[in-house]
Amino acid sequence: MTAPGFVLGISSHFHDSAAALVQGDRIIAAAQEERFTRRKGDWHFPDHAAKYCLAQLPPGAELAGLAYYEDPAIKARRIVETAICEAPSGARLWPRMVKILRTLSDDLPDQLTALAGDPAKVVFVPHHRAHAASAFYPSPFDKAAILIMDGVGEVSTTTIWSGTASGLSAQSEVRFPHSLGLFYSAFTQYCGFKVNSGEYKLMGLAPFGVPTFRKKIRDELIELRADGSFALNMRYFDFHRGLSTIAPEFQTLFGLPVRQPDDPVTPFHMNLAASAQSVLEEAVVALAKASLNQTGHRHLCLAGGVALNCVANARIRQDVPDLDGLWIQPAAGDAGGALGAALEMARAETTARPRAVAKPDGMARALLGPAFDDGVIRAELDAAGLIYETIGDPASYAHAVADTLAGGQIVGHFDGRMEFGPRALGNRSILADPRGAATLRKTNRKIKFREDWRPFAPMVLAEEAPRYFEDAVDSPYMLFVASLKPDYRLPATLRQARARGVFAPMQLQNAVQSQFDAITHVDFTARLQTIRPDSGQRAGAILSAFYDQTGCPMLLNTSFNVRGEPIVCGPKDAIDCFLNTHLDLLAIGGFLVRRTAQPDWVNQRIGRKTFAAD
Amino acid sequence: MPPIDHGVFLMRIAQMMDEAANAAGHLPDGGFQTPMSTLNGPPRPFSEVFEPRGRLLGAVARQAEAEGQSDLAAFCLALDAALEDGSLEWDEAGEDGARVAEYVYPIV
Repeated sequence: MTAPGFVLGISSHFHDSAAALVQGDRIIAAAQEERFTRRKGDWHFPDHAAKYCLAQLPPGAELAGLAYYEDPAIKARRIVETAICEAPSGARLWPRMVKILRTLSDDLPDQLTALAGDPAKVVFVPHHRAHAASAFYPSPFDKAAILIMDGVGEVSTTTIWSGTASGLSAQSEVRFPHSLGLFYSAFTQYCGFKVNSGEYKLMGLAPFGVPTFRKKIRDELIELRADGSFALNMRYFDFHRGLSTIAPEFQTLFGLPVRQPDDPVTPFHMNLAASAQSVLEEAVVALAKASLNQTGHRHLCLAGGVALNCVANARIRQDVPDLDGLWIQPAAGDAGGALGAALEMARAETTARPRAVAKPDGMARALLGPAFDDGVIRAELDAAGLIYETIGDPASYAHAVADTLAGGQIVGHFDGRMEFGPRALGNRSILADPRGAATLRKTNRKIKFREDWRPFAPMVLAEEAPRYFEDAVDSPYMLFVASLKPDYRLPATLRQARARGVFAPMQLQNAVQSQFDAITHVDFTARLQTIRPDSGQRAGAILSAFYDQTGCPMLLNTSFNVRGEPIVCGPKDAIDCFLNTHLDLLAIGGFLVRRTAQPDWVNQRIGRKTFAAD
Repeated sequence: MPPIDHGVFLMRIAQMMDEAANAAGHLPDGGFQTPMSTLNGPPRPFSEVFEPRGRLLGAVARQAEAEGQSDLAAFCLALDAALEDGSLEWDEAGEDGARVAEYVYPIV
């Protein structure tokens, strides 16, 4: 039997463009374009990401095919039909319609042909099928239900699939404009956050509030049906005919205008976020149950942007009784579509070959991006004029970094292959001691330059996680929340803080404390990432060393970037971020760059580089 | 071809879609639907998605015509011709509020 060919997957022209290279079921490389171009959520054709992926081909190897993550003809038809159905009220959207049609019609075919070398090598995988492939093929299950929920692909907004040895079979779909992703985006916009990137802020704001608007949302905005499906009341939404996600009636319903980005966050916004999150969770749990019912499977895979809602994901684990296993594609958004399209095309070419079910999964801990050797890193450090130490022994290195962390300092950590997907999982991470609110404040204000109420996530030694968190399971991709056990909480609760008249988010955050302040939210939940010391990741070794020194088996882990900046990709990006922030130590490759060892000019660079707010 | 005024742009689109809009139905209902056949079909090749002439909207028009939606097909062909000959190039400076709020991503 000959080896399967190499397939390149591409996603582009909406948001979060990406490329991925696979051979059969084996994922060789994957990366988002934004990491190379340094433009957050870059939607342009992923020339740089594709170039990186193609550089991973063995010498002399050629691409067998190129798979695009959606069918532009079906998408174009949906766009045109929507405009026709809504005319003339959708006229404000017509310029956008013409622009995107021009891009899909004129630019995309040329770009794909140039990359593949021959248009006959190019195929188009429907958007939700690409997501489903990304969720099922790398999963540890030989058969599973697959639930895809996002804003919109071509026409589908929600799909349920059966995945078996013979491939994927769509069971049912919900169609545009009825969309859970766009439902959530509407509240994201209304609360003053940016659509398509601020949804995680809405999720983070929800625990501060009480779902007082839940009934109103259920009564007016969304119908949750007995079969697990849903329908939006389009009277309140505008994304199908205008430049806003919400119609004026939406504001009238809730009684206040849209919050502007710099306006204060009030209890109204907290309660609204809590209400939208609560309804979303109910819808997602119902869809998960429907997925099992429709397919007869007891394992479930998720993808699509809604699957990045780790609170809803945890609800599925808790509230779906017949569920034996849940696996979520870590690059659940559109970037993952590039991977799914490639896997689907590769499967189509090798149907005679049994699917290899990988354990624990086929994603290689999502470490699929570029790596840089010490020669390249040293050259960048020298070019930047930085003073650094070189430590060759891995154990000594981990110990030295752990020592710095134990001293309350904050570390930018850069090692090995870059993560694929929105989460930094240790290789492009900012690490800190999670104990103490001062860490939270410093990391938010002086490192990330972001809203001071937003909590961080913990990286926890896998074997220690059950000791600290309720219902802790292996969570290598930071896709579930778990509650800190009561033993580690301090007595004050959110309810008591509210009763004392505390309403500002940061004050509430300060009022509700735990032994791990920097990584627990006001409801004592945390967005858990578990890591094993034997995973081969240096971050795991650093955490082990930190545990040995302090008895604390977790670290604060946040992405290595500042607000509005893509996660760092190469050593120069990491150095720039170090220079732009108050990071105490840059641990990069085999080198340690301590701020205290640097000349005076280094501190003068802090805060010089700004990015558009996310 | 010189760029047209934003108002002229809107008028041209409105004229092009007039008959199709009159014949249009409504947007899909909510709730579960039987999946579109394309979801369960094989990946489509380049030549099918972009039709032999390499025009996306030409392929959409052909499909619509095959389904008896001739008004939709005519609109797609008119729109495609306008995209190709540049007669829909508009002066973006005159565009009415490119974004209602900067914080909203265009959904199209």
